[in-house]
Amino acid sequence: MSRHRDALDRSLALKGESVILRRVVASGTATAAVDAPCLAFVRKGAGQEVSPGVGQRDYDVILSPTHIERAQWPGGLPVRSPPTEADPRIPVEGDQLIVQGRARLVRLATPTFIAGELVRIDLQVRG
Amino acid sequence: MDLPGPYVLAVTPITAPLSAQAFTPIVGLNGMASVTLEAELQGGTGGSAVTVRVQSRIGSSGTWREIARFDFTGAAAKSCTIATGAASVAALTTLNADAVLQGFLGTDLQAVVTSTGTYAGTVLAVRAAVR
Repeated sequence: MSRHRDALDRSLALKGESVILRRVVASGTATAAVDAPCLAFVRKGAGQEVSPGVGQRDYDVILSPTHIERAQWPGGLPVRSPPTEADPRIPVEGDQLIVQGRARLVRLATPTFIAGELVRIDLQVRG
Repeated sequence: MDLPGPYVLAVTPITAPLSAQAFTPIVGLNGMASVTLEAELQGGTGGSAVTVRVQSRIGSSGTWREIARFDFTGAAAKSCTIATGAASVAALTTLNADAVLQGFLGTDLQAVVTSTGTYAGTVLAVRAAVR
């Protein structure tokens, strides 16, 4: 593991916040979720009122791939030949992040690779 | 063991028929002594059958062996617990409906799903609690 990822993991262990990365699979009213407990740095961004008395806020989040890999999130995916999936460790738009007990939607995930290793994932979430 | 905890072998909508669709494995479960498997089919309308085969192998070069099979026609949830420690020789073969092979736990787990007919509003979840 790279020193960059080690440093992020140490920092998260000291100062990170517990969150849950969640992918929800639904068909009609049937739903099932795949969770990965993670540590994250969560920074509040701009807030806005979406309807009278109802607000939502943007958050910038930093995750380490270490926790995602530990959970082997998002679990088993259909094996395709040839493979068509992007790196499954990287959340996609529509995934959820449970922050302080509230589900927020992932809008954008930006991975950082150094020397071919995934060392950090930046998320923009809203909710 | 190295990585005890809950894992998801497959969470997927079931629509068009699947022919032995393998899912990417959960790997590196060195020292796995027991596993509780849970398979749940929600919805379950439109099609006629879903079969989930849970397989294990010893290392990445090992052969996938069936350790549990769950059969569904409609919505249901089923589970079983498999532990190491069988003292007798067991044949490694395909399993009959809703059957379990005790004693064989390798280092990796995967789900293989077959379905018949076209389901609507249906989600299959296969989970493992590994100890």
